[in-house]
Amino acid sequence: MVEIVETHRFLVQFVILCGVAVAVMTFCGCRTGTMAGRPRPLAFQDTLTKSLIDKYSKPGAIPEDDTKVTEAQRNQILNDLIYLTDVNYYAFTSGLYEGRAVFDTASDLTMLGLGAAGSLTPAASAKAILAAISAGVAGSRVSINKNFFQDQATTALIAKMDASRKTQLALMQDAMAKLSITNYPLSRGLAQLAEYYNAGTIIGAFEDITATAGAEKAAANQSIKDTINLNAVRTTSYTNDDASQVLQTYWMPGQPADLTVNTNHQAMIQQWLVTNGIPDVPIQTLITGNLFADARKKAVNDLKIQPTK
Amino acid sequence: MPTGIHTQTDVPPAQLKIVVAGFKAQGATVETKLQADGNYTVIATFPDAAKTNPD
Repeated sequence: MVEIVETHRFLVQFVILCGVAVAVMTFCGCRTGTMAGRPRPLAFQDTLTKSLIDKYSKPGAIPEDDTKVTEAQRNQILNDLIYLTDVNYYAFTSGLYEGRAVFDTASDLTMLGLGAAGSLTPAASAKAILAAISAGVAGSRVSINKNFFQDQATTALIAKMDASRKTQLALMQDAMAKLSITNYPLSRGLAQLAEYYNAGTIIGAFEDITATAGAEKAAANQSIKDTINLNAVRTTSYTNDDASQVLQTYWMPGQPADLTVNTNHQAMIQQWLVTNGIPDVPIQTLITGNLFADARKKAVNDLKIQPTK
Repeated sequence: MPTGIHTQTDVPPAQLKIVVAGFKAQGATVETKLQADGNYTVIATFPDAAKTNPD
């Protein structure tokens, strides 16, 4: 619970930072009143951005108790914050095209944001990642300014950030669309939002500077992907192969006339599912789901089930 | 234990009772829908772990 509260506190600061960044980019950085390399923002953008910043800056706007957040509320909050992050990012990258001065400002804000995240983000691994990235940019900032923007690498840098952001966003949207509030609570979404934000920073573009950070981050993302994949297999089509028949009879010895299950065998199969990392898969899905052909063969083998004559 | 909604499509009519019984044996509420091809889609809804175990 403490972690959730800390995450929410961070997000409030994060949103405010987004707002500050947007303000700086919009009113100071874009000196000509145009967004270099992009069309002008839509007319309602400033109003909507201000409205959202106001909304989420209020105490309690992001529920501190994760268990009371519904799926719809989770998605609403995350979508609003994604929008703010996007507005901030577009202003930032437009500034990058304009030159070094805007980058310096954005860089300061980015480091400020990372600092807040590093001290308040709940997961220890995330703290380490953010701290490593933050330290990385502090040490390399001068050389980035000196080298990158005079080597005309801005486009490549933005392309890298775009790609990272696209990956992060797809992951979040997939999770929001497919995962229940139990499997994907708001706190987890907020942690991913921080990753999404960081993907759109110069530091994020250079995150490979620490192999450990990259590995931990990949593991965290894999965990989400695994959960999504697990949900993907919640829809299977019926199939009835040899292993299906062996397992079905092992579970329901009298079938098809008597559909009573053998509870001891059921416990054995259930334990096998747990041991093999798929505890959420129903036994019937294991037995007749098309996606589990290999798994049920392994189950028959592991449980040493002999086909009945 | 499974949670949430699990769906199995293309269940032949002759196997429907077994599949339904299988899902029910693990506590699911089961709904069946006849497909255009004569097979069935079985929709098994398992209790949400968060609701049954609030802590």
